[in-house]
Amino acid sequence: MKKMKTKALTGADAAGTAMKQIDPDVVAAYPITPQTPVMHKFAKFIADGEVHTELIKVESEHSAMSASVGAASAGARVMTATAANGLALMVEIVYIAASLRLPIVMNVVNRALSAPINIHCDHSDSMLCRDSGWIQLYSENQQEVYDNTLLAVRLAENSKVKLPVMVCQDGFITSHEVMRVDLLEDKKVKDFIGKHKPDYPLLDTDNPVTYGPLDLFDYYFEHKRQQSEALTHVFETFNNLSKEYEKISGRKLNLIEPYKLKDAELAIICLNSSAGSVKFVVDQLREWGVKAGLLKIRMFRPFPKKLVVDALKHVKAFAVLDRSESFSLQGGPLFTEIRSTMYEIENKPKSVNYIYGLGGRELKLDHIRQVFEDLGKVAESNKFKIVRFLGVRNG
Amino acid sequence: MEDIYEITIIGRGGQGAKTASEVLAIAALHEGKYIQAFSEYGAERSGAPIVSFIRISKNPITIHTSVLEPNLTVVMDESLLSMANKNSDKVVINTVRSPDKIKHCTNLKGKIYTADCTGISVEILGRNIPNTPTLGAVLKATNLLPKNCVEKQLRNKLEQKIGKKIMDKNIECFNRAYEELKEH
Repeated sequence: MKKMKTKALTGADAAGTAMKQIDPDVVAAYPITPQTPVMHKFAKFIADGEVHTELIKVESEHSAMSASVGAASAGARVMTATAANGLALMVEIVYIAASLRLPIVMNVVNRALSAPINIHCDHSDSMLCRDSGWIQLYSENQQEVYDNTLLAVRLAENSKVKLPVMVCQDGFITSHEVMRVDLLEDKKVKDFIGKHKPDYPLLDTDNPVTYGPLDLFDYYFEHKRQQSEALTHVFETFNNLSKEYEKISGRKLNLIEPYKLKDAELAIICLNSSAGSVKFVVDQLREWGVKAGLLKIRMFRPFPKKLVVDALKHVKAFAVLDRSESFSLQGGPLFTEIRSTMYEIENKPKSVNYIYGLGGRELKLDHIRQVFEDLGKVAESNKFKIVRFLGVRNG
Repeated sequence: MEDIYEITIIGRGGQGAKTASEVLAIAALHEGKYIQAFSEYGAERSGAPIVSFIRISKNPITIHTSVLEPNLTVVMDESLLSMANKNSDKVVINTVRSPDKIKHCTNLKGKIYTADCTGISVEILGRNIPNTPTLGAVLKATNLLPKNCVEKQLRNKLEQKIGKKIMDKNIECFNRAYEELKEH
């Protein structure tokens, strides 16, 4: 067994602890609501002298990301954290971070966007950034928050990738819940993370470069094309890093995690903590003879299309659970992604979408059982409602 | 869910229900168990009802839903007694009343335990923070974890924040309630 330390941590503490072990050069954050306990935890490590990070306390999230962009361009290893409306305020600079190919790692505690005012979990905030060019990783539990954060640094800084990464976790459900987390020794993390070697740091005055110049119809398109190209290297890089991480941690991180899906007839697909609750129901249904399964998506951006098709092509029917509404009347962002992915195969499984859990509405085990029961009917039917609402009044 | 032991703690903001749930969970972790502790966050203000949940299991826990049918319900504030789950196997209540009296005026089906945690807290600490005595009462009622293990985690969690003197008084509260617990 690899030497590890087991601790009881909230998701926010798990993120903060990973940040401590990474010991980034610069962290910029806006220290009041809607900030999360991630920065609270990390600021304590700074105050206690346990990290060497320069903490820049800025006047808004827009400035937090702006400072992150500045520091990362200069050649620093940069991290930050935010949530909900804070992320919404950042968005202009979130796009710039990806476009400038800056390897910033940001912990996002998924929370609802206003209005009405709500501080609880849903995925509206990170889904707002799904087209920003950031890599997005989602975490089922506190352990995955920790693992994803460590791996994210290497993924972001890989010279073929050079893109920022968002590590998402469910607000309150994961961020404020205490669970068992196995931590790696500081030295193991240090060796895994390695030293940051920026390719084109602004501070290398012998080799001067320009970041973010005017770039009109002459080259803007080429730069965007390259940005798209960079994302094609993400899957292989992630898989290689995952192998390396497994060697030091004993834990395997997959782009997607199929659970009892091989012989499943009915499947649920979802992100973050709901996947854990679905696993529990799948186990129960399996005991009763129902061939139920789960597909958990860890990486949503870029979208691991081939793996998803292979995992789902044999099922009779699947339901995608979306914890955000994209108001297209065609279903939530995860559903439209998966439905589009499955379009190319013959003999498509039947598919439905459930919008659920907005503003922290709890996903109960009964809701999940209901979805599987509905799926049984969908599998046998040719006419059914595609986009549904789960656990809502007048659903 | 048979192998998961579930606990609900009902209290009011400021009474330490959240801290109590975390201390229990951490103590269970040190006994080699898988754990989960979380609270229902509504309006975050002193005095508002707050419900904390704990799950303890020898196997990894994957569910992230609130506890609906707890094995054990803990009522830290008697005015919230009506929120207690009537099907819990055991109910531990902070009250001056006897378990018989409580049984008489509620529809609780499980075994009832009472201790005057508020009285103990006011007497020893000089203020109503009933979480440490309630933990003592819970341990006596359930034998869930070794007493010294929970005491150690209480110290780990609180001593740095409140100082050794107040900490020692809290441990005194913890022991008093453990000794004085009444059962039906």
